[in-house]
Amino acid sequence: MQPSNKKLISVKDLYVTFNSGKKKTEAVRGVTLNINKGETVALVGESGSGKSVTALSLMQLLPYPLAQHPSGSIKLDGKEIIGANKKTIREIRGNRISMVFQEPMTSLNPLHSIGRQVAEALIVNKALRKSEAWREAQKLLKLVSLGAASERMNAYPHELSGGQRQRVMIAMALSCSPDLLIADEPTTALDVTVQAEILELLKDLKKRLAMSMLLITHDLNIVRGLSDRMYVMKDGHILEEGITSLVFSSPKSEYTKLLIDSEPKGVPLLPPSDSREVIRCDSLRVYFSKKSGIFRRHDRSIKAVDDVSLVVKEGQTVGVVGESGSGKTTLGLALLRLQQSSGNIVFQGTVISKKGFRAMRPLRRDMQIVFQDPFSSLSPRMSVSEIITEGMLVHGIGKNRSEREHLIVNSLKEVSVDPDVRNRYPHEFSGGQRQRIAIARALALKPKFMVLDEPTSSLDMTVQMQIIDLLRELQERRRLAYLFISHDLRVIRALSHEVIVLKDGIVLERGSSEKIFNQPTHDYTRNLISAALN
Amino acid sequence: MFSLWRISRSILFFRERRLSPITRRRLANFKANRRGYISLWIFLVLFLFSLFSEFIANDKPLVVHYKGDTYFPIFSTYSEQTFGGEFQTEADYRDPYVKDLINEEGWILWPLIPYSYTTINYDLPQPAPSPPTLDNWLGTDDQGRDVLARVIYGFRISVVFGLTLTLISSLVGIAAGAIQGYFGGWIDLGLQRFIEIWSGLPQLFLFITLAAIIEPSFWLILSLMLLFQWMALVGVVRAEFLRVRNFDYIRAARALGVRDSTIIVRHALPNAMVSALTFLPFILNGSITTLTALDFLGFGLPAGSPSLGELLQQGKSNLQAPWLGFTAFAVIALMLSLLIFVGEAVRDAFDPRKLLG
Repeated sequence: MQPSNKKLISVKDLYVTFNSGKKKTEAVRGVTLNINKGETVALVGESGSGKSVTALSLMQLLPYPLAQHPSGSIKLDGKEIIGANKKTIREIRGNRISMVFQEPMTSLNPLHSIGRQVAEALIVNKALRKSEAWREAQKLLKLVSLGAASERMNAYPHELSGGQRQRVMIAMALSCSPDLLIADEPTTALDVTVQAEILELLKDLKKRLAMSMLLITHDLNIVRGLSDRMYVMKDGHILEEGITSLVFSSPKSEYTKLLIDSEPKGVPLLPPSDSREVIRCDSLRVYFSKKSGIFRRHDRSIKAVDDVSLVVKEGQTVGVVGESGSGKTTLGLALLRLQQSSGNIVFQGTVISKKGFRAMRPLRRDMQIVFQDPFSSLSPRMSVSEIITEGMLVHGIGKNRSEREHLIVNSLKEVSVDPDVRNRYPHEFSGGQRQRIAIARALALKPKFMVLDEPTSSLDMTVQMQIIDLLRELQERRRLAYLFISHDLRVIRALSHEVIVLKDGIVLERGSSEKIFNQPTHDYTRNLISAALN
Repeated sequence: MFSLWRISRSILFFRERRLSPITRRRLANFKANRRGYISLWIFLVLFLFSLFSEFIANDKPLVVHYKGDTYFPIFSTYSEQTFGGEFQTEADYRDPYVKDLINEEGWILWPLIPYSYTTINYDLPQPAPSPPTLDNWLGTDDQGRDVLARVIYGFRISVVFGLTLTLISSLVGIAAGAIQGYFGGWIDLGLQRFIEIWSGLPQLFLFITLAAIIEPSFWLILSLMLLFQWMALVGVVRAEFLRVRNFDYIRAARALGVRDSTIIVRHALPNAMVSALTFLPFILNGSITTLTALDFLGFGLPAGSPSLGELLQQGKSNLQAPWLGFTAFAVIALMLSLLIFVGEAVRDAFDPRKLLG
């Protein structure tokens, strides 16, 4: 259906403030936006830009009275929502606007079957009788293309995959045939191939049902594929708005340009020709044994990593791609001997697969790891300089205090963090800065080999690009060997020389980055690439 | 392996840190609970005073001035002959004869309450237990000892007992929980089963049986109770460590090659301390109550010790002397309530959902 010009929602000069104690935080500062009937509008912005808060205030779902609207108006079909009585708001929530959240794992009640949960929504919102609701629920689940919908009615959430759960969530949101569907990062928590399917579904639903959609996301690919118009948000302000295709072809504000440009780009630099092998593993296996039966003879081991061999050379990056549960993190931990494994691991000519924790200690300074989430990988109770010093003390790097201080300053400079901040605590830094600090901690030991476990995936797009550039630069300067683990093929392409595609712990395909991206041989790889890059 | 000493050092280390914003917020939350904050001050003042019980309630004078010389009977013993008496034994300053001797050529400065917890007042208006008089403000117990003096000393011994037991049992409990949670696997399983069996032992019967064989003393009771009390914190700390050991910053520390003991003390313990600290005031209360109960049953501190439980027992057997029961009840209720209020404030302080406002 073509979007009409009739306004469904009009938000005018909306402000949202949060009060905690005497401190007031302005999350949204004067947002004006319109959603027409049948139109899909995207609200784009990085974390903390106020996009989710804006969406939640449409449904008046903010934690009032902690949150307040000092000024502004939100009108649904010309009727004011702010300050409306509870009954009106309940009706709006039930019948006019509904919402799909980011995390499908926690949005469903684990104790009720999905049929019951969808039917419940119908009974409450549409006052249907039980048997009617059950039939209607079945129809809805078919509408969202949940495979074998009628058999799955009695399934419980844990029996479904993430993508299937998200479909159920969408079915529940659709149960009241809303005028507006708000989708808050509906695909962020899902694997790439599943992401593509859910987006396809949303596109399809939009065509079939005459409903408006507000899409909240940080992922510009989704915006480009799905929305008619888009708003770009930063620090609570709307920076730019317009028809999606026009914004992409000729962005007006600097920030939008930066966002559009911040797709991971570039190719890795060629590794030096004389590079030596740093680490190798032969048929590495990690099994989590799970024995059952009275005599514990039924072996139902989970094969997290099964028969993986790889070689990483100086100045070279080996990218490991896989969806969640493919064993890629386990592989990284096993290589560093932080996870029990079987198979041979050779690090700089020494066999380390049989060494205990104590014997490994002197080798640890040459092999380091950077984790995905910079918020949990830095101890909140230690200052930045304490965090960086810790490893140096273990390995006796730096003879005295002043020498160590000097080294700390150097490694912070190397990751472009102002060394003056070294006595602050991690919570005072943004995600990107924390990730830089985590890299500085690893670099302070002057390692030869680094495992990078999704170091960019919890960061905003613009920051992601900076970290990738930083990693590339460090690799060149120090001839570092990287094992780069990611589910994001764009990042992998920007950094790796060789790529290994993992699924269920098994190597499906391997080869040079060029070969994998241009001539993938395996269907799974082809799927991954088309889902991620188109 | 690491020793208790290292844990306690880390706790001190943890306290000495410059106040991080989170600590400041906790402090503010603690103060925001007015009842708990005031209770803490009242309790601290009472405890401080009771530490100097000897100067408040004693049957020896603080200062004696005799023939131009000054004597401090609280600190040293003087024979009766010093003051012109006849015996070489220590002067009994409550003896009217000695009093007269001193007052003739000097003066005596008595503590506020001229009775110690063992002093028997032979000069009673009626047979013991005698009701409150100007001389004995809260009356005397069934052996003619001043109740107020006994209560002051009793408060001290209860609190000191409780604090010592809490401190030692927490150190042991935290260490055991930390080892279980951090290493997991067979160590965890083994210790967990041991704790299950150990906590099944009938504590009270053990105490009663042992009290019949050996004369109980402060330290004996303390160590006996320690055998069981340490398990209180194990569960909490273990759970916290199980959660923490998979944190990325713990993994990062392992990747740096940091020793397990250092990781436990420096990275994991501060996380567990929050929940452990929340429990402490309640454990303290529990310890005090247990001691009182043992004393009440007559299996507690040796006879003659100033004990609140024993006073309660006397109140029960002398219903005609209500000042005994009332006093014991009031003191115990006050002490436990104060500690519970402090505990509530501590819990508020560490509650992450609690916002100021």
